[in-house]
Amino acid sequence: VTIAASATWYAARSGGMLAYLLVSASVVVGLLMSGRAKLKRWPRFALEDVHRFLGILAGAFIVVHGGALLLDGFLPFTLGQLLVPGTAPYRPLAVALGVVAAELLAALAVTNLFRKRLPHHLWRRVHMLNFAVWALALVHGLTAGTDALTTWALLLYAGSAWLVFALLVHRVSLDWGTAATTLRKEKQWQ
Amino acid sequence: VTPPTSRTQAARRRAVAAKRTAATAAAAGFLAIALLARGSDPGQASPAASGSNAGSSVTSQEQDDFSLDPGSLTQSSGSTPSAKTSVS
Repeated sequence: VTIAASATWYAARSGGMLAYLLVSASVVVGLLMSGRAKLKRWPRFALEDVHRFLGILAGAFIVVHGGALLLDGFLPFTLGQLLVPGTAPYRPLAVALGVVAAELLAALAVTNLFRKRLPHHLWRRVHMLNFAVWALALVHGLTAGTDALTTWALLLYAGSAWLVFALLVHRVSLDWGTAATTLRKEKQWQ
Repeated sequence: VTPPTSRTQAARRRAVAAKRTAATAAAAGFLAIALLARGSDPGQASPAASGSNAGSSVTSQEQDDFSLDPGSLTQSSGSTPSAKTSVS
């Protein structure tokens, strides 16, 4: 019984950390696509396929994370506490961030299913909420994770956060560059 | 002789390979992180593990005191009634 209980506890911790890393990887691939990265061997449809798969894999590990917490007896969670933000017996606010992130990710997955029926600009704006999912997952991991202050966990969090931020800054600078060029051309025509 | 494949087919194969690699890496990562988490627990650390992570053992103990102690969990969610009881 002790071994089984420990296994669920480790599965909960590992599943959560891995779900965060997979969300990070999915965000990184998404940023590469939207940043118009010219990857000769990787056309957009192939990157999109991998991007989608990473999101699904992240969802699977979120289920592992939640399921293991449900089965584990060390920190007894009920299904309601795992689904309703702020009702957890352990660090309610920190856990709530994770619950909101998971539910937002599920909602975004639903919008992906209806992508072709939605106006593209609307889907694209809603899809930006994936950054919120990623940020919430990061803060949830750092504040609720029992491994958050270990060296290996801090390295994983710092490495993934640096990569996402670097690509995000690059992406935003591309937008600003395009906007500045458009403005300059408009002025030349006037 | 194999027929020449288009760039699209090649890209599709690369995507399939990348997805397979991601799934395998995720499974391996799951086990690796579980082992790292196990190594972080002071009660679970084997002599070999504590030898390789001698520097982090103190941090691990502090971490577990911080996160797993039921007393600290109760405090963080606000347990004034028990304090009042002990005073009266």
